[in-house]
Amino acid sequence: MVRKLTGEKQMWQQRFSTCKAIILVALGLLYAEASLAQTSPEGVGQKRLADRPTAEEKPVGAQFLVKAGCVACHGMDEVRIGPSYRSIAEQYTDADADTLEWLAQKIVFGGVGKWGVVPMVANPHVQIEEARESISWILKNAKEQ
Amino acid sequence: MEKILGWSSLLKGGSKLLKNAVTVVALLLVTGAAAQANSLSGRVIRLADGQGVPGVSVILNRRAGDGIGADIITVFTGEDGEYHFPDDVSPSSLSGASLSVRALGYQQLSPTASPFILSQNDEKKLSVNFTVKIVNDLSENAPASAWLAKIPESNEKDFVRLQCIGCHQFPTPKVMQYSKQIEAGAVAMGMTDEESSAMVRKESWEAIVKYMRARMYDIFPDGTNIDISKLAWHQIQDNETTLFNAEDGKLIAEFAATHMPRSYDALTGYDYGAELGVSTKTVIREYTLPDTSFVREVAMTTGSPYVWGADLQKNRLLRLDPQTGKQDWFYVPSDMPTGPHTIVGDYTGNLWIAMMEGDVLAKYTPEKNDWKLWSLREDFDGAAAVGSEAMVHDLTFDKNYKLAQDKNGNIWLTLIGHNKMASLNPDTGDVNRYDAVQIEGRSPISISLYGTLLSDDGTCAWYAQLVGVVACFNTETHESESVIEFSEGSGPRRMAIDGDGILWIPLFGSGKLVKYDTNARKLLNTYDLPDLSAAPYSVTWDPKRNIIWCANSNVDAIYGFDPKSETFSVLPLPRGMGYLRRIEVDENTGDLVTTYANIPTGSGPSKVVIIEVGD
Ligand code: HEC
Ligand code: HEC
Repeated sequence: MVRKLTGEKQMWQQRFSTCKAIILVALGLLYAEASLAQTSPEGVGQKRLADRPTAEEKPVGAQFLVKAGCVACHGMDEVRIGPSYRSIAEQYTDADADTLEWLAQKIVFGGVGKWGVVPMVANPHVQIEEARESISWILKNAKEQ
Repeated sequence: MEKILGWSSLLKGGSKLLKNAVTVVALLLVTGAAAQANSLSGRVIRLADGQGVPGVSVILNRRAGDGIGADIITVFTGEDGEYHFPDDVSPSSLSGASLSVRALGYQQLSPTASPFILSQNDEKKLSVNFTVKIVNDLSENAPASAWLAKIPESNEKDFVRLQCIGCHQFPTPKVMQYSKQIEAGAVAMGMTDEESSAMVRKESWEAIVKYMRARMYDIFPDGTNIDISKLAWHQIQDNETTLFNAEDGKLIAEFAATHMPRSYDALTGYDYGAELGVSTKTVIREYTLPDTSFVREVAMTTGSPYVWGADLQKNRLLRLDPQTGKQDWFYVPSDMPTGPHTIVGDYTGNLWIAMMEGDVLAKYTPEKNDWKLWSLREDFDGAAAVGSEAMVHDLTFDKNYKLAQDKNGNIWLTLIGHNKMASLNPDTGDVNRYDAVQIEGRSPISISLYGTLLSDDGTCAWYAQLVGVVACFNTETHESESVIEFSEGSGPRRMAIDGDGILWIPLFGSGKLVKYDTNARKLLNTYDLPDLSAAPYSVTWDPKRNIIWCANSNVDAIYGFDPKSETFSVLPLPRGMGYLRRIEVDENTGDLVTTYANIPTGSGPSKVVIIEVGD
């Protein structure tokens, strides 16, 4: 039995071309504020990954990026919702300490404007130290060999 | 019988307060043992006129453990603002406990501490009085649905509710946070003119829909083989394996970009939309479970006081003793992860559990601590993506929400991954599969064959497809008949059948309750829920009260529908993120038994909820 359901779907009139503009805006603080002000009931869901009891060892590197949910938006070579780890590594090959710290902050609090107009979500379950380690791992492991 | 409080009585004295939301205050008066038998009581009054405020939730938060039963107990104030906790709350259990108040439209005024910590008290009875004031901004305690109230109703809105409340409330605090980020980002990028900011919103919500397709992989248990890290992006976004296909995604993104609030700073003008159905005898008991567990459904068996829960995350069952609060866990004996998902009790003490992963249906016999597992697997190609498996979802139950078998002994199951009805004969182990209604252009997972139940005579396994279909699967001819078609987005989910053969169908997306006569095969009526964004996940028929209970996902409240008066009443839950999926009525006590189910694990409260209705 095959049936076609009724109900016309509204279509996008026109897809705007993806914004190619790469605008670097230091939004770290703005998001830091916004994120900190935002608490869910009883602070649930805000638990740090490291606080969660797991049978396994604390995940590191690639494993951490999967466990922390980055994989939903970043691939090694694939552009998913955000840039690939490869492009990130290339972009920041010679980055100074301030830039790296800023990137770590951006991972935790979210941010936008460097690669496009879509914001990276806040990742409040990631500790700043874990974010720093993620950056180092990406820069070390994701460069074109 | 104490009178059920209604809005009419609440509004007496010229107050419109309770139509909005709050957390409140406390004035502590430690008195010597007064006349009441209860160890904890008091009154909630309004600052403006000193009048008592009815219908306020008074929430007692105790330290879990020590066999005290529920750690959190909520009661409601009566006509004069008075409340009292039940006798089983012993004075010794109050040491270090805290008390808070919650009601739409009120805010705690004094004292400033909320929640209020009770002082050590072993013998004396406590009397705690609260003073509250009226507030216009309801953003503090309003349910998620309140943020959708001002968006005009449309088919698109139904569709978005159906798709976007399926796992979590919409909007959750995180969703609000993301909306704020979109707006702040546009400003920071200088893209504030209408065209540019519209483009930013559209791109961002399109990205979020894609992100949700990926977050779908969060619903599987510990040790899952359905591993997102092994999949390429195009597989994750594949129309065949996602709940919402590319076209759906566009519709949702456009709707969200156009209609979702851009600021969540203040919320005004929301009310529950129906009278409160609570009295001073209503008691809500909450039992806190580990954060790392995800007990999304609970059930009971005939003759046992225990509440059984399916812990999807940890591949195990919970046994909760409501009296003591003791929690015991029973792991599914399987090498593979299973993810206990849907749980139904039977008349002889067994639990029947459908598994999220591994295509397994299980029977657990507590008396013997015995498990039996059946595989419903067929043609599994090992490609572990969402929708690649059959995914046993629901199983047939009867008017009492107990397992139901047809006259050949078959249990009927919905296979959501394959859009098939399957029969399992637990005595012989025979499994058969049959097509459910097919929808052109939609994959099985996006059709979402969902709830099912069995007619009294066993000939009809009524099933619902989220895409908008309810049908009778004839258990003899194996054909779908009496196909009822709802508009796309209405989202019929988990139904109930009553003693007269009336099928009650909750429409998750459009916020309605449908009354369908299975004998005459006729749709009798459609009722709007008090809040159309309530997202009723399921309904349960309460045989003793003849009430239809709606387990809502998005409104932090349960609705009771009285078929006689054709009216709804509202039973507010004590907290936000009160995402419900299913309510069981305890045969012995008449209590409502449920649990919170916001996805993912740890994002919402992890608690079993037992409600003494107090009627
Ligand atoms: C919802 C999707 C999403 C998730 C989840 C996500 N990101 Fe991102 N990420 C993005 C987007 C979009 C950008 C581009 C932001 C921009 O243009 O400034 C980005 C950018 C980045 C950047 C580059 C920032 C810059 O300024 O160049 C890094 C590094 C990064 N993400 C790491 C992570 C890590 C680590 C995680 C997991 C903890 C993560 N992301 C989770 C979407 C996401
Ligand atoms: C299959 C389950 C599922 C469905 C259906 C779903 N979501 Fe989500 N959503 C999630 C999960 C998991 C998260 C992460 C929440 C968390 O970490 O607490 C999330 C988070 C979000 C967030 C916040 C992102 C962040 O991390 O800050 C937004 C926005 C969101 N969802 C929007 C939507 C929209 C729009 C829809 C309808 C298309 C939708 N969701 C449907 C699972 C789902």
